[in-house]
Amino acid sequence: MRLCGCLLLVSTIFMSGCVSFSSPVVPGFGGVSLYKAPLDINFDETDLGEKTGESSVHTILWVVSFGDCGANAAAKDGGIEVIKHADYEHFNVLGMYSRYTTIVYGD
Amino acid sequence: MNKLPTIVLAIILALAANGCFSTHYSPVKPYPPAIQLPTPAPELSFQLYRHVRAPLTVDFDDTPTGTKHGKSSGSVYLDLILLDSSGHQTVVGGDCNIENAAKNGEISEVFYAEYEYFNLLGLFARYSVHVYGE
Repeated sequence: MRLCGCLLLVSTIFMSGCVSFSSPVVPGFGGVSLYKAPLDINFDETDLGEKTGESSVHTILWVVSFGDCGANAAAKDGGIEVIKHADYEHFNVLGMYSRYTTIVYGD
Repeated sequence: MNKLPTIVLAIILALAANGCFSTHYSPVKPYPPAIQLPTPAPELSFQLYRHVRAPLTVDFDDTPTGTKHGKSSGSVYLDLILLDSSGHQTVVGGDCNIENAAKNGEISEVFYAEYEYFNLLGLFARYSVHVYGE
């Protein structure tokens, strides 16, 4: 029982850093968070277009992840043929469930 | 017998933590990665199963989605063993680069790229590059 508790403690320590992700812009992170931020940070004469599309990756309990948050899947979702800009949305609940969504804009 | 669940848990944690070196460096990583240790230690990644696809290109200024698709992959087995002299995991089974992906898809002009990452208990990992173009 003590060993199990120690293992859980070690796991918690290991996973205490496992509540973040990588993107060009990360405006902040909290125990519960939902926000959108730029994925494409080149805004020179950017026209957003008429359509939007989304695609997501889901992570459960830090250790299982699945999904496709690629731009191609998001473009197909929105019927976009020319991608003009991309943002992302991050939703997280205590790191136990998180969702990373790529949002693309275009025509 | 009483210790069996603890032993099983320890084995699972060890296997998952074996994925400590099963990581990759990409502009967009849509899942919780790890603890960042001081260099040159690699990033720790605690994982059981990962199969994700995410953008490699993040600049989409008037980027067509393209009609052709190409893919190239590289795999890593038991990555604690397969480390090169600089401490980085080596990739076997092919080079997962843009050039090979474009060749495989017969693409002469690449518009953008994505990556696909598959990791199972840290024992097997595959990193694939997908390119789209004409």
